[in-house]
Amino acid sequence: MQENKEELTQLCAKLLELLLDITVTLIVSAAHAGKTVRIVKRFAKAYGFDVYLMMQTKSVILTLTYSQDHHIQHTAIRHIPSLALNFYFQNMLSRLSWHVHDNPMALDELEAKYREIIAVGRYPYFFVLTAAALANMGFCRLFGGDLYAMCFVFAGTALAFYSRTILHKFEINHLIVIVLTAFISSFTAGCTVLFSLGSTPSIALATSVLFLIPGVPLINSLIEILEGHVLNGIEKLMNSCTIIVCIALGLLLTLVILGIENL
Amino acid sequence: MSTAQVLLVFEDMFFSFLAAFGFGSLSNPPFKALVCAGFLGAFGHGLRYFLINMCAVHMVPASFLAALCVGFSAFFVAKKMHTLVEVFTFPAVLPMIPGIPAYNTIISLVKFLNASQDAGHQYLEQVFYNGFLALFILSALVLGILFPYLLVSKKCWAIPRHVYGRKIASKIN
Repeated sequence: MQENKEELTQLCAKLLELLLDITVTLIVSAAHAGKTVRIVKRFAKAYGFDVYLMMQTKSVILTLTYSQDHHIQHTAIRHIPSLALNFYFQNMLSRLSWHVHDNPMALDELEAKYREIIAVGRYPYFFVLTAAALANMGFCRLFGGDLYAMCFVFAGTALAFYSRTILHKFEINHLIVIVLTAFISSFTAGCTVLFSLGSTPSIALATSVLFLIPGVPLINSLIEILEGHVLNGIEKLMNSCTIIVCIALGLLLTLVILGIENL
Repeated sequence: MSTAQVLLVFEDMFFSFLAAFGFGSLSNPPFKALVCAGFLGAFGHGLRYFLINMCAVHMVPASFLAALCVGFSAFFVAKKMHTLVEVFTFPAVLPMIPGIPAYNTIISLVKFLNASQDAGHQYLEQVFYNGFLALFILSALVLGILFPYLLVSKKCWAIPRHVYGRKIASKIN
């Protein structure tokens, strides 16, 4: 019995490390709180453990308890790095959790499978850049912009997207990066006003900054509030609102330079 | 419906496909799911365009209806592809986000601050009208895609079951 207990304690410590990794990966890839809790609980249940999870803005606390003996337990806390949306991780981790739930496997095997998932990279950078610029151009057309507006929005988005990557390398505060990016993007689109090209310059200005809006965290925050994770939801909502205010600031800077009366 | 109107709807759908696809690619979903999300976005925005311009429905209920249809169809697509529902619904509603009302709110606000005392009230009216329009459209969109999700949430959670290791839209590229 005594030996068994030691083994279980070791398993508990190892599983805790892995589960914390998984939790942080899920939160960073912008899974909402309810989903994170469900997936982590499913993983733990497959090994006969209970999970108690507490998520905050910058850190996560996780307690793992053996279901049949509550004296076997471990708690750990870890910091959460900044957000990097990744639906692929969410999807694959959700699948993996069901897989473990249905077919029990050794912990090492699970860890190997987890490492395999997080080793998969993102789309090529220039593919995403082009896709985002095209998307913003399409947006401009949807709102009724003409050909000039569309071209300038395309150029502005591509430029802003690229400069955001460069600005992030200098490790400036991320909100300042957003203000600058919004300014670059809207000023490029604002060239339609400067050179009086086309008949819809205000639509070019309005759509040029839309790719910066944090759509996924915004929707996530409302889901969290509806599911009862109110604090997490409010925190995400607050973050998104701050970002939107920063976008508006960048846009305002352009408007001040161009002169608001021209619009 | 005349041919010209059908063409207008298709043009709208083409550009909303671009928008949904491009903004979806920022969140790094599996490629097949990304393409499907693009088509769902095109369907949603096309439906909204049709409702607003050809059936004279107001922006807010039209957005809600379109988002609701996107939410339900995303559930079936997700089931077919064994992928989380959010992967489809989030990019699909992005083309419907009220960018122009939000922009007009800011512009009117600045104009209000600039205006002389007695001319300010018309700008303030604009601020309220556009601000509330943006807010209501956004809530309509979110509620529309969340309604199916909350209605059958247990089924939604179980969608990725039994597929790990099988090759269904699981690899990027």
